[in-house]
Amino acid sequence: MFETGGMNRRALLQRALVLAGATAAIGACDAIGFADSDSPFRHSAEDMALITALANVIVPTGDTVGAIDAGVPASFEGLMANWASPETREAMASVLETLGALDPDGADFAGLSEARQAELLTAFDTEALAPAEGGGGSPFGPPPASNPDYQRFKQLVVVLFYLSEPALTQEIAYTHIPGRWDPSVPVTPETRPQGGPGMF
Amino acid sequence: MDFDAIVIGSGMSGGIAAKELTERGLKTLVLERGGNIDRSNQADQTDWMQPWDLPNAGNIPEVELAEDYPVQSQCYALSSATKHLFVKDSEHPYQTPENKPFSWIRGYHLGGRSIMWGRQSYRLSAMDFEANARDGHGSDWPIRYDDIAPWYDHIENFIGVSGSREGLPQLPDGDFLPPFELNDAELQFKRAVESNFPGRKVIPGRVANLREAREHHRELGRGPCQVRSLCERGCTFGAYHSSLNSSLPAAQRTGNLTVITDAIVHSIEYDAASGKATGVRVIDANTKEGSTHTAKVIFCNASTIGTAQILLNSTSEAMPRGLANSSDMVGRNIMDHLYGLLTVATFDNMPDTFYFGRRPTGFYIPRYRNLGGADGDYLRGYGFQGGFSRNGGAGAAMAGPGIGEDLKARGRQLGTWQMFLAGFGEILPHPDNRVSLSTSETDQWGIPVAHIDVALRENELKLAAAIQEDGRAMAEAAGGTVVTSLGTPSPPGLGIHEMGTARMGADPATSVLNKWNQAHDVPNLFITDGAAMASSGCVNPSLTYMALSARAADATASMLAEGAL
Repeated sequence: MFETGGMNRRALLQRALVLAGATAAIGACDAIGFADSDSPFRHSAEDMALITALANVIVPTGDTVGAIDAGVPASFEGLMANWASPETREAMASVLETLGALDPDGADFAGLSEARQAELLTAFDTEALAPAEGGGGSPFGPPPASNPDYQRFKQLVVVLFYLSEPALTQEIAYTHIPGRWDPSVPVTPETRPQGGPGMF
Repeated sequence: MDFDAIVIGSGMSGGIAAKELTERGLKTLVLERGGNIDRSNQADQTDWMQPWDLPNAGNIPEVELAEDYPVQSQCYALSSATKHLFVKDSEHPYQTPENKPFSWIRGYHLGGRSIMWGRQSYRLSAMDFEANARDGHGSDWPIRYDDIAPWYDHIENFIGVSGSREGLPQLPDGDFLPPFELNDAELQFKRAVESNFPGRKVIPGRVANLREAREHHRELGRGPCQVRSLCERGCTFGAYHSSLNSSLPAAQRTGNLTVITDAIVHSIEYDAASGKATGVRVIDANTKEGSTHTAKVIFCNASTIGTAQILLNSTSEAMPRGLANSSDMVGRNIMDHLYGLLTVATFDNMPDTFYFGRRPTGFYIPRYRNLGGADGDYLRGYGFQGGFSRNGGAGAAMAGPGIGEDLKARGRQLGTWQMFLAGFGEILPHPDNRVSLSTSETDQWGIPVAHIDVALRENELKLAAAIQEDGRAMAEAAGGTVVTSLGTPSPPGLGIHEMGTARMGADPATSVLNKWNQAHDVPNLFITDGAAMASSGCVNPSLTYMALSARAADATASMLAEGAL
């Protein structure tokens, strides 16, 4: 029914170690949730190439890890297959179609140089994320953008990156079991924001 | 009789009732309408999940969310890691009048909402227990603060409440564990508020997480809080109080506890000849077969609305309006707290320091309005919960246009301090705020669904305006820039503090329960969940439910020993 009985310090420590051991000790768990191989919502190779190019230019690998290191393209596909409603899938497909055709000369976006990709997407991004008229939105999030579908696409890419193990362990900071509360810590050049879900 | 006592519901108050009854030697049956939950089962408790383990990045599939969780999705704690702890609205319907929404947030499983609760733990004060008598709203509480104070001590000691002693009459101190201290920005905010607004205090939130685990906590398998702030997913360390972590294990070790899950209570049987409740009719949630369990006393802890449903559905020739309802007060006077009144501000004048750990609480600003009988433009008052954190990561990366290394640099930089202030205001008891039984719809077990009719009235709207005015003033006095101010309260219910449907009072003509939480009409029926509350105060109510439960269980045991029941 429920666990009873005393738990001594050793047992607590063992439990902590199990938690610290993370997914390998826990067993089966699809990280984020990839699309099943037979999912009807798998993307085509062309679309995956585009998603990969976009994720890479939004969060590139540089001195530190980027979206490709974090497996964002596959996670995005997983979200589309397992989480998105038909309306969201349609909206994201429309975004991809638009972004895939950003080059005024008609070249395939995924085939462009990274520099050219960044140039084109930066211009689009600036215009698309201009605040929408009317305000509103989440009290803790950015204002609604003039192109809400693109804003959502970009947010998915960014969130998938910052929830990934590479980002949380190399780009910013996350400790699953802090084990203590320290209300005042000096800031140093190495200090990074805390990631993960939750506000505190 | 099958048992000495039956407790209907295993949540916050039912768990404590079971503990206290069994510890006094009473053979006790706990009936839980939901399924079993096992602390050691990783499907039941998901606190082990790393952020990258969260199914769908924490999101419930959109179609499923819309179809199955249209109400529950309003609760901040619902995610792909916790959805098994929330009811599917599609399977557990209720009714509201058109244009009068009520958000009924529920969890049907062993332990109920004690698994997902916010853990904020504050005492009502002498002022609160006198409020109804003073301004004439609701029924006068049949107890005063001194009657319940020792039971607050008792519960705080058992569950473990971390907090600071402040000496404030409107927020009595208790038997606290060390607090989760304020961070540097909160300390500066505290200085600004307390110097600019005499009478206001900014204190560490009082929270039922073990800052340190004492021996009696460890005996139950509980360890200190690991400062993860994953509490709504359950806690492998047993570091916060819930029925699973604390009260039910304590009850079980007595050898006097029996628990039946998937047991939906249809009604309580009443024997007019003896004037007592004689049994509890149960429907198996899965097989839908019926059964009846009997006991000398019955504790109804099915949660405020659930308790009203059971009483109203327990009609008999002697009590055609429902059990213990000669006053016609069963189902009436439902309250919540004003909720969703949010102020968000950013600060560029705060110390350039950080913190370590994800504290399971923030700060609290106790009520400062209408103290000492000085009523202004409105009655009663409000408090604030809040906290400061530093921006960065995904939020900063998404804050505006920009891609590539610029975006990453934004995410990597420790950002500005951001504060949220959430006001919680008192809602007055009003007889027209009412739960009744639907005359047109039953659930899949044949029980009439709840019809919940609640409106916020003039006093509540005045409080809401004052909350937002004060929130902005405090943020700006501390040098903040208000970026969000939500001045419209959330739908009633979303505070998840519903209470009052079987209120306590001295007069059987106007109340349901006496000073021992004993039904005026049915002496062996006790109700110690939120239904018993005669007023709501402005503080989180679970601590009071638990104190009332322990106090009533103690009285019950004495009455049984004396042959009075």
